[in-house]
Amino acid sequence: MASELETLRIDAVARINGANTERALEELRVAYLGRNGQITKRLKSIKSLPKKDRPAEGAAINAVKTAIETALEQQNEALLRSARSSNLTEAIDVTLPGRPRHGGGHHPVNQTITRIESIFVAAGYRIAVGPEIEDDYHNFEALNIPANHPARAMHDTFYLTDGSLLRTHTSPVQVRVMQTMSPPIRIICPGRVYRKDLDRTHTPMFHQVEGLVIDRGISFADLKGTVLGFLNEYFEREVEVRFRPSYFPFTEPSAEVDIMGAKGWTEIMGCGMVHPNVLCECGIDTEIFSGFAFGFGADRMTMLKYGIDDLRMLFENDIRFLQQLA
Amino acid sequence: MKISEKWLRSWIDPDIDTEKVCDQLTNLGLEVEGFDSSYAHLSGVCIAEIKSIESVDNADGKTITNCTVDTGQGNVQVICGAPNVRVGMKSAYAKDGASLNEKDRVKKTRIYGVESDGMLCSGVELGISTDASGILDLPEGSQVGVDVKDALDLHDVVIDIDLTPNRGDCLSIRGIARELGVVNQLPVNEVDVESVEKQISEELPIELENPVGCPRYLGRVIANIDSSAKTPEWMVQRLVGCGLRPIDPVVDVTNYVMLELGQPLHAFDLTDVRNGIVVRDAREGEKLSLLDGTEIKFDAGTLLITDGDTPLAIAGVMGGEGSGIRKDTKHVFLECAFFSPDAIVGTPRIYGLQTDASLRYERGVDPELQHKAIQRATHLLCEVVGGQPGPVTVAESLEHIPSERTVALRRDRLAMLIGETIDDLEVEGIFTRLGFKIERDTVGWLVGIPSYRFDLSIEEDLVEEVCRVHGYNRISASHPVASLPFDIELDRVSESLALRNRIAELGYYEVINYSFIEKELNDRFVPAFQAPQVENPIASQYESMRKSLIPGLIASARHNLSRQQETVRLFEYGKCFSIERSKTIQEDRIAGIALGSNRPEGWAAPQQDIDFFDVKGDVERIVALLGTNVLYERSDSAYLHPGQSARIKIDSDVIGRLGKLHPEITMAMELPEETFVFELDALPFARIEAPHAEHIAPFPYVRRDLALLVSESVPVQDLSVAICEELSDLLSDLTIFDLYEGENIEAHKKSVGIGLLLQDKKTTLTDEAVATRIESLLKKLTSQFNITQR
Repeated sequence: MASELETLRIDAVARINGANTERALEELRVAYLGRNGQITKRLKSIKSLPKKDRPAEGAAINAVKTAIETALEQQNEALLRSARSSNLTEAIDVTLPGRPRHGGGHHPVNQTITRIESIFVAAGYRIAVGPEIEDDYHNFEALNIPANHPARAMHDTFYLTDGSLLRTHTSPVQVRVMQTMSPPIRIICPGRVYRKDLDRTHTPMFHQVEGLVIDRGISFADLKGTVLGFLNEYFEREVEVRFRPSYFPFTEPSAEVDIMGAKGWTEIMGCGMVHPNVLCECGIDTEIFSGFAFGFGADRMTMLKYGIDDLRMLFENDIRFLQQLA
Repeated sequence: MKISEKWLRSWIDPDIDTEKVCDQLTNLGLEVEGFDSSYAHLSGVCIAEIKSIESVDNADGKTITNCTVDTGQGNVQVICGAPNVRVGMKSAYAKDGASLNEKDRVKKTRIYGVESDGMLCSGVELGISTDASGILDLPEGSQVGVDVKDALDLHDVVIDIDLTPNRGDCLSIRGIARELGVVNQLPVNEVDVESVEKQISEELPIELENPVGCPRYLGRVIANIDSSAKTPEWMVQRLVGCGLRPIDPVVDVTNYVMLELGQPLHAFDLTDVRNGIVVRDAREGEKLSLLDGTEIKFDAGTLLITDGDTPLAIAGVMGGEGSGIRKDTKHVFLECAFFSPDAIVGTPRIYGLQTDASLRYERGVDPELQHKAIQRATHLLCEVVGGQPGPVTVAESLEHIPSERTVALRRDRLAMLIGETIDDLEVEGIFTRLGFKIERDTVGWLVGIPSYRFDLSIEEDLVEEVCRVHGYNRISASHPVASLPFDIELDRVSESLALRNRIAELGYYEVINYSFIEKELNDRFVPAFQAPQVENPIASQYESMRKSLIPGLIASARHNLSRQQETVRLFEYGKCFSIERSKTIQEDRIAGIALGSNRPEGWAAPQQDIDFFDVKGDVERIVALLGTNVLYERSDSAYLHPGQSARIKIDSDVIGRLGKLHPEITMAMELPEETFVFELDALPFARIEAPHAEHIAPFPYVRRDLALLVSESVPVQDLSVAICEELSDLLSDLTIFDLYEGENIEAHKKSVGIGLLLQDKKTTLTDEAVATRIESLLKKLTSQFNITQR
């Protein structure tokens, strides 16, 4: 009897191990463990045995049942594994391009402004902005440029019919900030500015970034260090820089900053110590505070950084150009 | 300003080359823009000898000769019309291809049927004298074949200096020499000016009716000049070296003195000013004809030189046509005045007349210079055109002549503003060499500012003087030491950045357009409000401040379409302007334009023409930044298709628009019909409140799909709003998964498939509970919208 059971086990395990489809395996499970399966039948037939033989016989059949179950499980696992591995041999052409999406990006000048903002914000500056239609007071008078001042000729101003004007620089933002906040002040003011000029190096609208620091003991040396540090960080290299005396009504001393490029010195920004008349106009005590200001063209910085030689390209908005630099 | 290096070096001659001189000037704040040879355009001209001459027939009675000329490289035949040509004469020969100035090149030509191989040149043609009476007659010893520039030593350098408006004191050889002297620590050779005594007694009465504008006016008669005299070549060359062309001897002398000393002078023909000189303000409407023939009408207040009644000249700017030097002028009246900068500034701009004189007077001419300058000019005039000078007539109002200023400079302040200490001796050396009188006291210096420095009036001005002479580039660099308070008033990141990032991610490239556009276009897009107008636009298409970003985007799209870009997706962020209730409004907006395909071409996904819902999908992603509920309703914008456009609203505020461009617009602007745009106010995006995080409930979702049949006129948004209201406590998400109109459906009805994702945040939602709620929802929808379920 025992050996018959053993034969059944050996035979069953062999058949299970030989089953190579999920379906054959299922048939075997039914044949052994199903409602009318051989093992099930045997378990049912135990009732007909003498009481004393039942436990031993039951244990023997259950051991075989467990063995068959284990074999079924293992074989099932083996079949799944082989199916998975056969999936791995199916391949797609990985060199086909993916489903494309429209590209997009920021204008190069605005990328430049964003970068400049982050450089200065990291150094403790904040961003300030102001109106583009300005009044004479904020654009000129408060900046020590009274009516008929020869410096007004340096700004070819667009006037509006109501007597207001398009700001010729971002400096009016300085005035607005100084008149509402008290020192220490560290701001940069990016934005559009307007001058009546149009050629290869001038467009009637362009972008300026203005910086202003007002605090105790701010010196010309501090201005130099700030400008040098910024230029090195912006161009990501040690830039050869020259400061030369210049003239702006709103700074004294004033300087123009040149950097050395392939074609010699290139003018890149104007700066200086904020003129006492400007500080006084904004209610700042010049015996306690001093400060510096600097301003430069974001368009020009963009051109230098990306090797663009015609300013007008920046405002043609040709997608092929924008894509290159996005 | 252009100056002759040779002339400059006759005043001060440091042992450095031109380039170094230019560097020094630039580093002093007198920016050198460049330098060039003074006769850069003169080439191919050499000394030649005339071997034989023969007159040309058929010359219509003119003296025309055919000359055989030895050029040093063989003989050539040259036709010449000069009366002074003679055999054995040495002159200047310009060969075929030679250049005489910026424009003119010498070419082989036929004159009266005879070939001329080059030309013989006069002094005027070469730009070296004013003598046009014949060809250059050079000394016998001149060597044939030598370049005329070498033979006549025409090697001068023109240095072009871009002076800032504060440095009027440097608008002369004298001023530039002074600066070079300071930096090289060398003395400057001031020109010796001798007083020229009067030889006649004639003088004119001079009256200063406006002594504030003209505190000093010197005049002098010079009688009996030789009107045939020529400007000497040395003077012509110096004028040319300063970028001026010789005109006539009297004017050349006044220009010469102006360039040399910085004092503009004016010469009148005495016969036109017999009544004397009155310097006064113009009366409204007075007129004057200028040398170039134009007539100008004065505003009241313009400072004039008059003969009492009639205007003769605009003070410090330009003389009139009627009183200037003429070819036959015999007697000259020389004017040498100090006009206050305040009286002249602005005048050139009002009348559009920038002159060498006005440039100097606007910036400030040395008020102590007039006596010296008039003597210098008299001396040179007598040398060049002869004549007998009268006495110098002086009209002045001493109280109106700028008095010498004294400015204090504190040693501590100087060190603080520079950021380092400059040695006292160096400071004093700088001031002394600049011509400042200094007096040292315990805290610093009292500095006397010379009369020619109009730009210095406060302590900081002196700080700059010290800095620039010391050298900006010698000052060390440091960094501000600062307290770093946190500041919530101002931004750390540009307000527009998040918004612009989002649109860029959606596949739009950012453009930048001018803020001004054509007025008609502006009003066509936004008829509602007026736009601020530019009074002096650079061109008429830039006359009106834009009320919308859309016209600019359209122009950019067209630019790209015309360059074979068939899919265009662009956006711009910037200000728009309008006048509302007479207030100027300037607000940031963001707008986009899209046309072409919904996606780039590819094998794995079909391309379709972009449509309204592609763009609306983009807009929805943009407004999702707001984290608030946004509604759309049919719009009536002038530039949008009335059936495919929407206003975008938060509560009752319209924050933007989107839609298909109106067919009239796409037709007029040559755009594809399927062109879509959107424009949003940026303000709502500037200060978005942080979203409130909600608890994620652990209970399962239940999805219910409704297929509702409703009149085609009911906007789907109305259904979803009603559903959201009704199921607000359960609704996690609502999707419109299907829309059907057509066969198998009642006419004028549509079937809307709405998917509802429901969840009770407090307990597991039962089927019974869902069924009850859906039933009451459907009741509500039926009564509100007359829906039926499919």
